[in-house]
Amino acid sequence: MDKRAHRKLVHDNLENKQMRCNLSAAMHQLQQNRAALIAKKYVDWQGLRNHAKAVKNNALMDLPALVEMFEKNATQNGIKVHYASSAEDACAIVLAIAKEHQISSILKGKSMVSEEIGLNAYLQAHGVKAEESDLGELILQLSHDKPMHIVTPAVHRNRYEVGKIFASTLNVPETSDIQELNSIARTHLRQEFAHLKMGLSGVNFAIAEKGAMWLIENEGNGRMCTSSPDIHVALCGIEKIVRCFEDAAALIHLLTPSATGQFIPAYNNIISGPRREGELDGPREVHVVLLDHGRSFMLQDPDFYQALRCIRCGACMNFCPVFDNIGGHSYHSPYPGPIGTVVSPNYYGLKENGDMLTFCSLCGRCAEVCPEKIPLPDLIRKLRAKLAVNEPNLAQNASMKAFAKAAQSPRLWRFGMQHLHSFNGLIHAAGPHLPVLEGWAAYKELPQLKTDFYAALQQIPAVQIED
Amino acid sequence: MGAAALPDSTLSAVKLLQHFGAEIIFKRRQTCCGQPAFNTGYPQETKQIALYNIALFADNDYPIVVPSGSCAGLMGKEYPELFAHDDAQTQQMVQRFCARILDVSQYLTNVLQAKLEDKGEPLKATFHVSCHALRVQHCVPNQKALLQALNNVEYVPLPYEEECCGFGGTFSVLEPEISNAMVSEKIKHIQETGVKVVIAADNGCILNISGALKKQGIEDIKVYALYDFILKRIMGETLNG
Amino acid sequence: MSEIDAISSRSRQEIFARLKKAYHIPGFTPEKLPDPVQYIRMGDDLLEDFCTNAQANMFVLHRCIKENLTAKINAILKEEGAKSLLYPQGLSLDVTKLEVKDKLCYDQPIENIRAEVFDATAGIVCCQCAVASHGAVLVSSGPQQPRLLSLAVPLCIMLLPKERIVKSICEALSQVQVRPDGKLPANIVFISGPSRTSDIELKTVYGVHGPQQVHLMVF
Repeated sequence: MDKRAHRKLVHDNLENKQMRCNLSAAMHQLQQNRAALIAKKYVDWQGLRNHAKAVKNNALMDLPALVEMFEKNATQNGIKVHYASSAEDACAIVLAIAKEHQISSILKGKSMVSEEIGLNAYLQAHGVKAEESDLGELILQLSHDKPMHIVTPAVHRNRYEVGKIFASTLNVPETSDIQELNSIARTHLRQEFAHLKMGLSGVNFAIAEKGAMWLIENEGNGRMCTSSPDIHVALCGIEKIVRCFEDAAALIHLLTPSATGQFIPAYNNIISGPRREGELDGPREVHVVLLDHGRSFMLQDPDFYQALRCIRCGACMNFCPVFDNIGGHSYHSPYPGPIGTVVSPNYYGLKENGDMLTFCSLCGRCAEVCPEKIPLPDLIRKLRAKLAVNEPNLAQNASMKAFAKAAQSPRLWRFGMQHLHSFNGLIHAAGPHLPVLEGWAAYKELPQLKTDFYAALQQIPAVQIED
Repeated sequence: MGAAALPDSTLSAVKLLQHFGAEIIFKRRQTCCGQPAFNTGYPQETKQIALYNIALFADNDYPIVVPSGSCAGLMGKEYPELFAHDDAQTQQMVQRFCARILDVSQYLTNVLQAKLEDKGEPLKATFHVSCHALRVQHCVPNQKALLQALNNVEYVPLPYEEECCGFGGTFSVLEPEISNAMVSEKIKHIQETGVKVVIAADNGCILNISGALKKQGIEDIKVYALYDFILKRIMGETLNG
Repeated sequence: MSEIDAISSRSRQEIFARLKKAYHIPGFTPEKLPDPVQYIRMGDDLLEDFCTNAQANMFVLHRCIKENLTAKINAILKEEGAKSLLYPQGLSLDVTKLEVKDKLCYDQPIENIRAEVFDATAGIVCCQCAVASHGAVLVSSGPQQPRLLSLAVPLCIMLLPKERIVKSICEALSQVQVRPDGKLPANIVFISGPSRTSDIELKTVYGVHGPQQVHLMVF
C-alpha cells in the first residue's frame, strides 16, 4: 500500500473513537484474564512455553516427512487430502468440491485460512454462497465488515451496534441484550445447520501419526459444520501439522489461556474420518486442503521459519500498544498485530504489505507473551531490512548510511553534537529524521538542545577522558 | 545521542557513579550504539558501528557502564544477534564485549551497592518503565530499587506501566500519529495517579512524554531523568523545570 | 483427471520441491517431551481436581451413587421442563423409568430423524473418560454414540463413572479405544461444559449452537 493510503487508513482508524474505546477495553480485559489464569492454574508457565516451542520446532524441522505421514494416514482413514500451492488453488478446490455435489450454499466455521485466501468473495463470484456461523464472523458478514482480531473478530462492535446490525438484516426487533442477541443468532442458524449439505472449517492442529485433525471452539458451530452436513471440507495451513496427539495436547495447554485466559475451550473436536460403518451421523465425505501460500518459503529462511510456530492465539495483538490504538483494520490483512506484521508480507509480498512494518515501536511485549516464543520484534526488524533492499526508500537508505558513517567517525560525531544550535544540526548527525520531523513537531514540542556536554564533562573532577 | 538532547542526565549519572566510589574513564571517541540503524532495518550499518565500538573499548576490560537501558540492551544483548552468522572468533570477540555492558542502575545497585541518603523534601513520584530497560536489559528492578531507596519519595505505581509510551526511536517520526495516540494514553494513565512528578530512565521516553505534555499544554506534570533526580535528592538540591 | 486432482497433484509437486529446501537448525535433534500436565497446578486427588475444574467450566455437577441416577435425572428433567429426551442405543439405564413426555432412541441414521434430533429438548450422553487436570469429559463417536447427541439438544445430561477419571488429556487420548480395523473413532470430542460465546463485548453467554446446560452425573 502506498504511503498516502497508509497514512489515511491509520488516520481514519485513529479517528474512530468508538472502535478505539471498545478495542482498548477488550484488550485490557484479555490481558488481565490471561495473567489471572496463569497465576492460578500453572506451576511453570515458562517451562510450558519452552515445551510448546520445542513441539513446533520438532515438527517444522521434520515437516516434509510429517506432511507425507499425515497424507498417508488421513487417506487411510478415508479423508480426501488435497494440496493447494496458492490461495487461488485452495479456492478453486473448495469451489470444485461444491460444484461436484451441486451445492450452492455452504456454512462456515471460523477459519483464518479462509479469510487469508479470500474464499467468501471467490465463492460468491462463482455462484456459491458462503455463510459464516461463528457469532463474531456472522456479525461482520451481515454488516459487510472485516475481522478486527484473529480470535475475537467483532471485538470492535458493542452490543448496541450489534443490535442495530441484527435488526436491520435479520428482521428482528432491536435489542442490546447480549443473551437475546445470542439467541437471535442461534435461531437464525438453527435451520441452516439442520439442512446443511456442506460445511467448511479451519484446523488448529493436524496430527501426522493419526491422520487426524484437531479443532477447537466454544460455540458448537464448528462441530455443527463438521458433523451435521454430508460433506466437511477443512482448510489447513501445512504448518499446522504436528507429529502426535501428545504434541497437540501440549499446545492446547497454552493456546486459549494465551488467547483469552480460558483454561480449555468448550470443545476440542478431533476428526479422523468420515462417518464409519454403523455410525448414525457424521459427514459422508471429509476433505482437507493443505495450503502452502508462502509457508514453504518461510520454512527455507533461517529467521522467518520461526513465525510458522504461530498457533494463532492472538496474544501478541492483545498486548500490542500499536494494535490497541489503530485496530486490526489498519493492517489491511486478515492477520493484524505483530504476527500479522510478520506473516502478511510473507504471504502477500512486501510490495502489498510492507507498509505495515512501521506499525511497531519494538517495545518487545509481544515476544514476551507469545506462547511459542516467536521473536516477533526481531523478525519485524529483519523484514524492515528486507524491505530496505527490495523496495528501497532512497532517502532513508542515504540517511542511514550517513548516520552509520558519522557514528564511526568521532570527529564528525562530536562536530555534529557540538553544533546543535538548531534541531537541523541533529538531523545532519542522525539523518533519518529529516523528512518526517514535521510529524514529531505536530504532536510534541521539540527538545531544547544543549551543546555543552563535552565542556561540562571536562568540568567534572577526576573523570579521565581518553581517546 | 542522549548526550545531545539531555546532557544533564548523562552528567548526573557520571557524578553518581563517582559519588559511590567508581573511577570513571570516558572514551572521547565514543559515538552511538547504532540503535537508529538497527531498528530501522540496517543490520550491515549497525554491525559496522558495533565493530567500531568494540574496537574502541578493546584496550582494557573494565565494565562499560551505559546511562540508558535501551543503549545498554542493544550493546549487551542484541549485538550478538547481529553477528549470529559470523565466524566463531568474531562471535567470541562480540561476546566478550557484551559481557562488560551494564546499565548505570545495575552498576549502582549490584556493584557499588549504593546507599542513597535522601535529603529532599517529601514528594510523590511515579516511574515510567522503558520497554528496552524492562525487556532487553532487564534493569527495571534496579531502577525502581534506586527510586524506592529514597526515603522521602513516595513511589506511586503507574497503571499499565508495561505499555510503551510510543517513542520507539524512528517509530515516533515514521508513525507520528500513532506515537501521539500511544503517548496520550500514557499521559492519561499518569494523570490517573494524580502524581505530578514522573521519573524515567530513558532519554527517548523522556523527550517523548515531556514533549507531548508541553504540546498538550499540561504544565503541572514534569518528567525527570532518574539520575538527575537521584543526584539532586542526595545532594539536597531542589528540582528545577 | 478431475480438476481437483489436477490442481492438487501440481500443488503437491510444487510444495514438496520447496519443502526440500527447508532450513534446518544446525545440530538440531528433536526433543523428547514429557506429558504437559506437569505444568498444571493440581491437588493430589483426581476426583476433587476433576470436580473443581468441571464446575469452573460451568458443568452442573451432580455426585451420586449409581442407584440414584434415574431419580436424579428425573429431577433435572422435571426442573428444566424437558419435553422430549433423546438417548443412545445400549444405554445402561432403564429408559422406561425416565419421566419425560417423548422419548426417542437415536437408533437410525440422522437422515431419517433429522427434525426429531434437532427438536429434542434433552439428551443423555455416556462419557468414555474424563480429564482431572482440565475438568473435561471425552466422548467418542460410534454406533451407540452419535455426534449430534451431545450437540443438538439444549439440555445435555452426561454420565460419568468416577473410576474413568484420568489425570491428563494425554492419558485420556491413550485410553481411546482403537477399533478392530485399527482406526480411531472418526470423532473424538473433549467437552468442557456448555456451548458458549464471548464474541460480543467479551461477555460470556451460554448455549449458542450446542447445549445451554450440561449436567454431569459423576457416580
